[in-house]
Amino acid sequence: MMSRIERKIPGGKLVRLDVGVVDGVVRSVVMTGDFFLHPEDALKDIEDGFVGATTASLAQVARSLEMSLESEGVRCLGFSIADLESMIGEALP
Amino acid sequence: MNWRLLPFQAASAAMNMAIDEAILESIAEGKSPPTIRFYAWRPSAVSIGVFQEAAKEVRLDVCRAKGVDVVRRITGGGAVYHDADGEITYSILAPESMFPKGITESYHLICGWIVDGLAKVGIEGQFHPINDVIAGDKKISGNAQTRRKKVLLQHGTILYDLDVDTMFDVLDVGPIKIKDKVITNVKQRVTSVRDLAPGVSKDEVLDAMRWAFLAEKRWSKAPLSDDERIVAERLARQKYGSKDWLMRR
Repeated sequence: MMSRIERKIPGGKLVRLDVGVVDGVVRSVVMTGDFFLHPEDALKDIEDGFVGATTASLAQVARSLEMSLESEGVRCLGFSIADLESMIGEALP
Repeated sequence: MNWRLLPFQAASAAMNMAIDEAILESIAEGKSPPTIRFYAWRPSAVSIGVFQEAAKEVRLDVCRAKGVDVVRRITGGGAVYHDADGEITYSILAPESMFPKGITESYHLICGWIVDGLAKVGIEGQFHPINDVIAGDKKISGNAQTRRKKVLLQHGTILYDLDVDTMFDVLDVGPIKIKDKVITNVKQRVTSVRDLAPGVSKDEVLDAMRWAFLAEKRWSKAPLSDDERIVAERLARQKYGSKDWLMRR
């Protein structure tokens, strides 16, 4: 099932997520909006980073992704990985 | 280091974005100096952020009918309506080593020049993170930055005159029934030089911005190099003018 979740992050930017979920597992994430990400190429890492997450594993997946992005020097402006975690949580059963 | 100021130029949306990328590439290759350019969009255009969904943000059919260009930037941020006569746009391109490492700090520095330029024409502005300059409590300038190949590109607009009706003809703000509410809301949140300093001409604002951006820099006026021009023309044709690039999200 595809869900579109849209959120204006308080003090940040607008983020839209199109999340595909099959049998309780995230299969695809497409992120659009007016946020900033440096470098921009890291968007795919973020989208792919949530694939495979379930309700049970979402928090752990988000923390791992956060650490991985931090170690690569990726900077998010206008949203955080915790915001995305919360939005993806809405798409999961 | 000696800065280059490009002559003011009006160009299509595809060409404006292509010029920025051509300069970025040339600086990355060590062939061009740090560069500042002020320019206009002719015809009027909508630019969208690199992560935005074109069909969701822009009324593409209305743009086509009105002859308004639509282009995807390589920077993040939101959709902007660039009226051919209603704003001043700038780009600054330089090795990122010339700027603070922090993104917010470098926004603060460059937006500080916009604040200085506005002060020169009698408008009190201030940097408003993440990427705006406000006057009073209303936005007067929006800015977007990227860093690639160790080069910083920041471009942005200073609103001279606000054509809210056209803006919301071409931008998709949701159902028609909420359009009036959105327009009222924008009028409460956005301002322009003409609102705040009605006697100031656009040329005076441009002069003030040039003065502020170039203060305490060694600089000279020079055009694009032949190589930059060739790369820009290719990028305008193959990338920024293409449907693939515009509709990639």
